[in-house]
Amino acid sequence: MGGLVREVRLPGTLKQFGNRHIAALTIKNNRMIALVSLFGGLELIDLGEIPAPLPSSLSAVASAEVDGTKTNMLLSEEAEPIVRVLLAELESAA
Amino acid sequence: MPEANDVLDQSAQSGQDTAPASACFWCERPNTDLEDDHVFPRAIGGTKELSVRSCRRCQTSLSQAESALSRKSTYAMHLLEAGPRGRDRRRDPASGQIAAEYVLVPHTLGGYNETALKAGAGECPIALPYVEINVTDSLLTCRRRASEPSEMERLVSTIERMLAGKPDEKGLLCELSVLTHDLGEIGKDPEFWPRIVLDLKGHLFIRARNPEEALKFMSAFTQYLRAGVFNDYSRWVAGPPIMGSTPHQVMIVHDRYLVGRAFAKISCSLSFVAFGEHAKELSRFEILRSYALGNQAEAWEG
Repeated sequence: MGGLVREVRLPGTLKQFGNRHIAALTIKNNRMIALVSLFGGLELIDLGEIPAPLPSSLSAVASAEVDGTKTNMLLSEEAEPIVRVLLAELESAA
Repeated sequence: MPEANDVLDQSAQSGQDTAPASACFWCERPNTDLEDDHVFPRAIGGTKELSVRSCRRCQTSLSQAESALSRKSTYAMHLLEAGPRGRDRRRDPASGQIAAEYVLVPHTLGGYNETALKAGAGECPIALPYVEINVTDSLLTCRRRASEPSEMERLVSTIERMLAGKPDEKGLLCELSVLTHDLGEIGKDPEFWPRIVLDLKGHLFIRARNPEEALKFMSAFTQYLRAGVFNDYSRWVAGPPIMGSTPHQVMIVHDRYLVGRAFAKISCSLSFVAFGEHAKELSRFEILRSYALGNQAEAWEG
Protein backbone atom coordinates (compact mmCIF):
# COMPACT_ATOMS: atom_id res chain seq x y z
CA MET A 1 0.00 0.00 0.00
CA GLY A 2 3.07 2.22 -0.11
CA GLY A 3 2.87 5.66 1.53
CA LEU A 4 0.72 6.73 4.41
CA VAL A 5 -1.48 9.27 2.62
CA ARG A 6 -2.41 9.17 -1.04
CA GLU A 7 -4.55 11.54 -3.06
CA VAL A 8 -7.20 9.54 -4.93
CA ARG A 9 -9.56 12.25 -6.20
CA LEU A 10 -9.21 16.01 -6.34
CA PRO A 11 -11.68 18.10 -4.31
CA GLY A 12 -14.88 18.80 -6.19
CA THR A 13 -14.91 15.37 -7.87
CA LEU A 14 -17.28 13.33 -5.70
CA LYS A 15 -20.76 14.81 -5.71
CA GLN A 16 -22.56 12.01 -3.86
CA PHE A 17 -22.18 13.43 -0.39
CA GLY A 18 -23.59 16.88 -1.02
CA ASN A 19 -22.27 19.44 1.42
CA ARG A 20 -20.76 16.89 3.78
CA HIS A 21 -17.24 15.88 4.63
CA ILE A 22 -16.89 12.13 5.13
CA ALA A 23 -14.23 10.14 6.95
CA ALA A 24 -14.61 6.36 6.80
CA LEU A 25 -12.56 3.68 8.48
CA THR A 26 -12.83 0.27 6.89
CA ILE A 27 -10.81 -2.84 6.27
CA LYS A 28 -9.30 -3.74 2.93
CA ASN A 29 -6.85 -6.59 2.39
CA ASN A 30 -6.60 -7.14 6.15
CA ARG A 31 -5.51 -3.55 6.71
CA MET A 32 -7.37 -0.68 8.26
CA ILE A 33 -7.70 2.19 5.84
CA ALA A 34 -9.27 5.61 6.15
CA LEU A 35 -11.06 7.10 3.17
CA VAL A 36 -11.48 10.82 3.75
CA SER A 37 -13.56 12.96 1.47
CA LEU A 38 -13.36 16.73 2.07
CA PHE A 39 -15.18 18.99 -0.37
CA GLY A 40 -15.70 16.03 -2.70
CA GLY A 41 -12.06 14.97 -2.87
CA LEU A 42 -10.78 11.61 -1.71
CA GLU A 43 -7.63 10.70 0.20
CA LEU A 44 -6.53 7.23 1.23
CA ILE A 45 -4.72 6.78 4.53
CA ASP A 46 -3.19 3.44 5.50
CA LEU A 47 -3.51 2.73 9.22
CA GLY A 48 -1.89 -0.69 8.86
CA GLU A 49 -2.62 -4.20 10.00
CA ILE A 50 -5.48 -4.63 12.42
CA PRO A 51 -4.92 -5.89 15.95
CA ALA A 52 -6.51 -9.20 16.92
CA PRO A 53 -9.23 -7.79 19.21
CA LEU A 54 -10.85 -5.86 16.38
CA PRO A 55 -13.36 -7.72 14.18
CA SER A 56 -12.14 -8.20 10.63
CA SER A 57 -15.20 -6.52 9.10
CA LEU A 58 -15.21 -3.42 11.31
CA SER A 59 -15.96 -0.01 9.91
CA ALA A 60 -16.92 3.44 11.16
CA VAL A 61 -18.00 6.55 9.31
CA ALA A 62 -18.06 10.15 10.49
CA SER A 63 -19.67 13.06 8.75
CA ALA A 64 -19.44 16.85 9.07
CA GLU A 65 -21.57 19.48 7.38
CA VAL A 66 -19.25 21.86 5.53
CA ASP A 67 -21.08 24.89 6.98
CA GLY A 68 -20.04 23.86 10.49
CA THR A 69 -23.52 23.00 11.75
CA LYS A 70 -23.21 19.28 12.52
CA THR A 71 -20.59 16.58 13.03
CA ASN A 72 -21.45 13.02 13.99
CA MET A 73 -20.74 9.32 13.65
CA LEU A 74 -23.14 7.61 11.28
CA LEU A 75 -25.15 4.55 12.14
CA SER A 76 -24.42 1.32 10.34
CA GLU A 77 -27.33 1.54 7.86
CA GLU A 78 -26.17 4.94 6.62
CA ALA A 79 -22.48 4.14 6.86
CA GLU A 80 -22.44 0.95 4.78
CA PRO A 81 -23.54 2.47 1.46
CA ILE A 82 -21.07 5.32 1.94
CA VAL A 83 -18.21 2.88 2.48
CA ARG A 84 -19.26 1.02 -0.68
CA VAL A 85 -19.22 4.25 -2.70
CA LEU A 86 -15.78 5.20 -1.37
CA LEU A 87 -14.32 1.75 -2.01
CA ALA A 88 -15.75 1.75 -5.55
CA GLU A 89 -14.17 5.13 -6.13
CA LEU A 90 -10.88 3.81 -4.85
CA GLU A 91 -11.09 0.79 -7.16
CA SER A 92 -11.91 2.88 -10.20
CA ALA A 93 -8.96 5.17 -9.50
CA ALA A 94 -6.50 2.28 -9.18
CA MET B 1 -20.96 -5.18 10.17
CA PRO B 2 -19.88 -4.49 13.78
CA GLU B 3 -20.16 -0.87 14.72
CA ALA B 4 -17.63 1.25 16.50
CA ASN B 5 -19.82 1.47 19.63
CA ASP B 6 -19.73 -2.31 20.06
CA VAL B 7 -15.96 -2.23 20.17
CA LEU B 8 -15.95 0.70 22.56
CA ASP B 9 -18.21 -1.25 24.92
CA GLN B 10 -15.91 -4.25 24.74
CA SER B 11 -12.92 -2.05 25.41
CA ALA B 12 -14.53 -0.50 28.47
CA GLN B 13 -15.48 -3.91 29.85
CA SER B 14 -12.05 -5.39 29.36
CA GLY B 15 -10.47 -2.71 31.51
CA GLN B 16 -7.46 -2.39 29.25
CA ASP B 17 -4.63 0.03 29.84
CA THR B 18 -5.70 3.46 28.74
CA ALA B 19 -3.92 6.78 28.73
CA PRO B 20 -5.13 8.90 31.65
CA ALA B 21 -8.00 11.22 30.74
CA SER B 22 -5.76 14.17 31.57
CA ALA B 23 -3.14 13.18 28.96
CA CYS B 24 -2.87 14.69 25.52
CA PHE B 25 -4.06 12.24 22.85
CA TRP B 26 -1.21 13.24 20.56
CA CYS B 27 1.89 13.31 22.77
CA GLU B 28 0.37 11.30 25.67
CA ARG B 29 2.00 13.63 28.16
CA PRO B 30 -0.09 14.44 31.25
CA ASN B 31 -1.48 17.93 31.08
CA THR B 32 -4.10 19.80 33.02
CA ASP B 33 -4.74 22.33 30.26
CA LEU B 34 -6.22 20.23 27.49
CA GLU B 35 -8.51 21.45 24.72
CA ASP B 36 -10.91 19.78 22.32
CA ASP B 37 -9.13 18.96 19.09
CA HIS B 38 -11.78 18.48 16.40
CA VAL B 39 -11.51 15.37 14.21
CA PHE B 40 -12.60 17.46 11.23
CA PRO B 41 -10.71 20.78 11.45
CA ARG B 42 -12.95 23.61 12.61
CA ALA B 43 -11.85 25.81 9.72
CA ILE B 44 -13.59 23.49 7.25
CA GLY B 45 -16.73 22.95 9.33
CA GLY B 46 -15.80 20.41 12.00
CA THR B 47 -17.43 20.74 15.42
CA LYS B 48 -16.49 19.48 18.87
CA GLU B 49 -18.93 16.55 18.89
CA LEU B 50 -16.11 14.46 17.46
CA SER B 51 -12.87 15.42 19.14
CA VAL B 52 -9.90 14.22 21.13
CA ARG B 53 -8.11 15.98 23.98
CA SER B 54 -4.98 17.82 23.03
CA CYS B 55 -2.37 20.01 24.70
CA ARG B 56 -1.59 23.46 23.31
CA ARG B 57 1.81 22.46 22.06
CA CYS B 58 0.38 19.68 19.89
CA GLN B 59 -2.50 21.94 18.83
CA THR B 60 0.01 24.47 17.58
CA SER B 61 1.81 21.84 15.55
CA LEU B 62 -1.40 20.36 14.16
CA SER B 63 -2.82 23.77 13.31
CA GLN B 64 0.09 24.30 10.91
CA ALA B 65 -1.14 21.33 8.86
CA GLU B 66 -4.79 22.34 9.21
CA SER B 67 -3.97 25.83 8.06
CA ALA B 68 -2.21 24.45 4.98
CA LEU B 69 -5.30 22.40 4.22
CA SER B 70 -7.86 25.12 4.78
CA ARG B 71 -5.94 28.20 3.59
CA LYS B 72 -3.19 27.13 1.20
CA SER B 73 -4.43 24.15 -0.79
CA THR B 74 -6.87 23.30 -3.54
CA TYR B 75 -9.28 22.50 -0.70
CA ALA B 76 -9.12 26.14 0.35
CA MET B 77 -10.83 27.25 -2.84
CA HIS B 78 -13.88 25.18 -1.96
CA LEU B 79 -14.24 27.08 1.30
CA LEU B 80 -15.20 30.12 -0.75
CA GLU B 81 -18.38 28.45 -1.94
CA ALA B 82 -19.30 26.11 0.85
CA GLY B 83 -17.22 26.65 3.96
CA PRO B 84 -18.35 27.91 7.35
CA ARG B 85 -18.43 31.65 7.87
CA GLY B 86 -15.95 33.09 10.33
CA ARG B 87 -17.26 32.72 13.87
CA ASP B 88 -15.94 35.96 15.23
CA ARG B 89 -16.54 38.97 13.02
CA ARG B 90 -14.42 41.17 15.29
CA ARG B 91 -11.24 39.27 14.51
CA ASP B 92 -8.49 40.51 12.27
CA PRO B 93 -9.83 40.29 8.71
CA ALA B 94 -6.57 38.63 7.66
CA SER B 95 -7.10 35.65 9.95
CA GLY B 96 -9.60 33.95 7.66
CA GLN B 97 -7.81 34.79 4.47
CA ILE B 98 -7.09 32.27 1.73
CA ALA B 99 -3.30 32.35 1.50
CA ALA B 100 -3.05 32.65 -2.26
CA GLU B 101 0.20 33.67 -3.93
CA TYR B 102 -1.88 36.06 -5.98
CA VAL B 103 -5.47 36.92 -6.83
CA LEU B 104 -5.71 39.20 -9.84
CA VAL B 105 -8.92 40.52 -11.33
CA PRO B 106 -9.38 42.45 -14.59
CA HIS B 107 -10.15 46.05 -13.63
CA THR B 108 -13.00 47.89 -15.28
CA LEU B 109 -10.65 50.81 -16.06
CA GLY B 110 -7.84 48.60 -17.38
CA GLY B 111 -5.13 46.55 -15.75
CA TYR B 112 -5.49 43.98 -13.01
CA ASN B 113 -6.72 44.53 -9.49
CA GLU B 114 -4.91 43.08 -6.49
CA THR B 115 -7.45 41.20 -4.41
CA ALA B 116 -7.66 39.05 -1.28
CA LEU B 117 -10.05 36.18 -0.70
CA LYS B 118 -11.58 35.36 2.66
CA ALA B 119 -12.59 31.84 3.58
CA GLY B 120 -16.26 31.15 4.20
CA ALA B 121 -19.33 30.94 2.06
CA GLY B 122 -20.74 34.34 1.18
CA GLU B 123 -17.49 36.21 1.71
CA CYS B 124 -16.71 38.74 -1.01
CA PRO B 125 -13.25 39.28 -2.48
CA ILE B 126 -11.53 42.29 -0.92
CA ALA B 127 -9.79 44.84 -3.14
CA LEU B 128 -6.31 45.73 -1.86
CA PRO B 129 -4.88 49.24 -2.28
CA TYR B 130 -1.93 49.45 -4.65
CA VAL B 131 0.08 51.82 -6.81
CA GLU B 132 1.19 50.61 -10.23
CA ILE B 133 3.52 52.20 -12.73
CA ASN B 134 3.99 51.47 -16.40
CA VAL B 135 7.78 51.20 -16.40
CA THR B 136 7.93 50.58 -20.18
CA ASP B 137 6.33 53.96 -20.85
CA SER B 138 8.68 56.96 -21.02
CA LEU B 139 6.06 59.00 -19.13
CA LEU B 140 6.07 56.42 -16.33
CA THR B 141 2.29 56.54 -16.13
CA CYS B 142 1.09 55.82 -12.62
CA ARG B 143 -2.27 54.53 -11.37
CA ARG B 144 -3.51 54.45 -7.79
CA ARG B 145 -6.14 51.86 -7.10
CA ALA B 146 -8.15 51.34 -3.93
CA SER B 147 -11.76 50.81 -2.95
CA GLU B 148 -11.76 54.32 -1.41
CA PRO B 149 -9.29 57.19 -0.79
CA SER B 150 -8.79 56.22 2.87
CA GLU B 151 -7.39 52.88 1.74
CA MET B 152 -4.88 54.67 -0.45
CA GLU B 153 -4.02 56.95 2.48
CA ARG B 154 -3.35 53.85 4.55
CA LEU B 155 -0.95 52.55 1.93
CA VAL B 156 0.87 55.88 1.60
CA SER B 157 1.14 56.41 5.36
CA THR B 158 2.53 52.88 5.75
CA ILE B 159 5.23 53.71 3.22
CA GLU B 160 5.95 57.06 4.87
CA ARG B 161 6.25 55.45 8.30
CA MET B 162 8.64 52.92 6.87
CA LEU B 163 10.80 55.58 5.23
CA ALA B 164 10.83 57.73 8.38
CA GLY B 165 12.69 55.06 10.31
CA LYS B 166 16.40 55.12 11.10
CA PRO B 167 18.72 53.07 8.89
CA ASP B 168 20.31 50.09 10.65
CA GLU B 169 24.06 49.53 10.93
CA LYS B 170 24.15 48.30 7.32
CA GLY B 171 22.34 51.43 6.15
CA LEU B 172 19.18 49.45 5.49
CA LEU B 173 16.04 51.52 5.95
CA CYS B 174 13.46 48.85 5.33
CA GLU B 175 12.86 45.52 3.66
CA LEU B 176 10.09 44.77 1.20
CA SER B 177 9.02 41.43 -0.21
CA VAL B 178 9.29 41.31 -3.97
CA LEU B 179 6.99 38.72 -5.53
CA THR B 180 7.85 37.61 -9.03
CA HIS B 181 5.48 34.69 -9.57
CA ASP B 182 4.82 33.49 -13.08
CA LEU B 183 1.52 35.25 -13.80
CA GLY B 184 0.65 33.10 -16.81
CA GLU B 185 -1.39 34.94 -19.44
CA ILE B 186 -1.60 38.05 -17.26
CA GLY B 187 2.19 38.26 -17.28
CA LYS B 188 2.15 38.54 -21.07
CA ASP B 189 -0.40 41.35 -21.03
CA PRO B 190 1.13 44.87 -21.33
CA GLU B 191 -1.80 46.06 -19.20
CA PHE B 192 -0.20 44.41 -16.19
CA TRP B 193 2.07 46.96 -14.52
CA PRO B 194 4.41 46.34 -11.58
CA ARG B 195 3.01 47.61 -8.31
CA ILE B 196 3.36 48.09 -4.57
CA VAL B 197 0.51 46.60 -2.56
CA LEU B 198 -0.73 46.80 1.05
CA ASP B 199 -2.07 43.40 2.12
CA LEU B 200 -4.76 42.67 4.70
CA LYS B 201 -2.15 42.23 7.42
CA GLY B 202 -0.84 45.74 6.78
CA HIS B 203 2.36 44.53 5.08
CA LEU B 204 3.67 46.05 1.87
CA PHE B 205 4.95 43.98 -1.02
CA ILE B 206 6.04 44.62 -4.58
CA ARG B 207 4.73 42.50 -7.43
CA ALA B 208 6.59 42.42 -10.72
CA ARG B 209 7.31 39.97 -13.50
CA ASN B 210 11.00 39.76 -12.59
CA PRO B 211 13.60 41.45 -10.33
CA GLU B 212 14.67 43.89 -13.07
CA GLU B 213 11.12 45.14 -13.46
CA ALA B 214 10.84 45.46 -9.69
CA LEU B 215 13.96 47.65 -9.60
CA LYS B 216 12.62 49.88 -12.38
CA PHE B 217 9.38 50.15 -10.48
CA MET B 218 11.09 51.15 -7.23
CA SER B 219 13.12 53.80 -9.02
CA ALA B 220 10.02 55.34 -10.59
CA PHE B 221 7.96 54.93 -7.44
CA THR B 222 10.58 56.77 -5.36
CA GLN B 223 10.39 59.71 -7.76
CA TYR B 224 6.61 59.88 -7.37
CA LEU B 225 6.91 59.55 -3.61
CA ARG B 226 9.40 62.44 -3.37
CA ALA B 227 7.07 64.59 -5.45
CA GLY B 228 4.29 63.90 -2.94
CA VAL B 229 1.74 63.09 -5.64
CA PHE B 230 0.11 60.30 -3.63
CA ASN B 231 -1.25 62.77 -1.10
CA ASP B 232 -3.26 64.59 -3.76
CA TYR B 233 -6.75 63.17 -4.25
CA SER B 234 -8.07 65.98 -6.45
CA ARG B 235 -8.13 63.67 -9.46
CA TRP B 236 -9.57 60.67 -7.67
CA VAL B 237 -12.01 58.84 -9.97
CA ALA B 238 -14.67 56.46 -8.72
CA GLY B 239 -14.85 53.70 -11.31
CA PRO B 240 -17.70 51.27 -11.84
CA PRO B 241 -17.72 48.43 -9.31
CA ILE B 242 -16.30 45.03 -10.22
CA MET B 243 -19.42 42.93 -10.51
CA GLY B 244 -20.07 39.25 -9.83
CA SER B 245 -18.92 36.65 -12.36
CA THR B 246 -15.73 38.59 -13.04
CA PRO B 247 -13.00 35.98 -13.54
CA HIS B 248 -10.43 35.93 -10.76
CA GLN B 249 -7.04 34.43 -11.52
CA VAL B 250 -5.74 32.75 -8.40
CA MET B 251 -2.49 30.95 -7.68
CA ILE B 252 -2.23 28.71 -4.66
CA VAL B 253 0.80 26.62 -3.76
CA HIS B 254 -0.39 23.24 -2.54
CA ASP B 255 2.00 21.60 -0.06
CA ARG B 256 1.25 17.88 -0.17
CA TYR B 257 3.36 17.12 2.87
CA LEU B 258 1.46 19.56 5.08
CA VAL B 259 -1.92 18.66 3.61
CA GLY B 260 -1.12 14.97 4.09
CA ARG B 261 -0.45 15.66 7.76
CA ALA B 262 -3.96 17.06 8.11
CA PHE B 263 -5.42 13.85 6.67
CA ALA B 264 -3.22 11.77 8.98
CA LYS B 265 -4.61 13.80 11.86
CA ILE B 266 -8.22 13.22 10.81
CA SER B 267 -7.80 9.47 10.39
CA CYS B 268 -5.76 9.02 13.58
CA SER B 269 -8.16 10.92 15.80
CA LEU B 270 -11.22 9.31 14.18
CA SER B 271 -9.82 5.82 14.72
CA PHE B 272 -9.39 6.65 18.41
CA VAL B 273 -12.89 8.10 18.69
CA ALA B 274 -14.32 5.02 16.97
CA PHE B 275 -12.22 2.20 18.41
CA GLY B 276 -10.76 3.63 21.61
CA GLU B 277 -7.43 2.26 22.78
CA HIS B 278 -7.61 -0.55 20.19
CA ALA B 279 -6.79 2.07 17.56
CA LYS B 280 -3.32 2.42 19.00
CA GLU B 281 -2.64 -1.22 18.16
CA LEU B 282 -3.04 -0.61 14.43
CA SER B 283 0.39 -1.26 12.98
CA ARG B 284 0.79 2.21 11.48
CA PHE B 285 -1.02 4.20 14.12
CA GLU B 286 2.12 5.46 15.84
CA ILE B 287 3.84 6.51 12.66
CA LEU B 288 0.67 8.27 11.45
CA ARG B 289 0.27 10.11 14.73
CA SER B 290 3.88 11.17 14.60
CA TYR B 291 3.47 12.24 10.97
CA ALA B 292 0.39 14.30 11.88
CA LEU B 293 2.55 16.16 14.41
CA GLY B 294 5.19 16.85 11.76
CA ASN B 295 7.79 14.37 12.98
CA GLN B 296 7.87 12.00 10.00
CA ALA B 297 8.80 14.06 6.96
CA GLU B 298 9.78 10.97 4.99
CA ALA B 299 6.60 9.03 5.73
CA TRP B 300 4.33 10.46 3.11
CA GLU B 301 3.70 9.83 -0.53
CA GLY B 302 2.38 12.60 -2.74
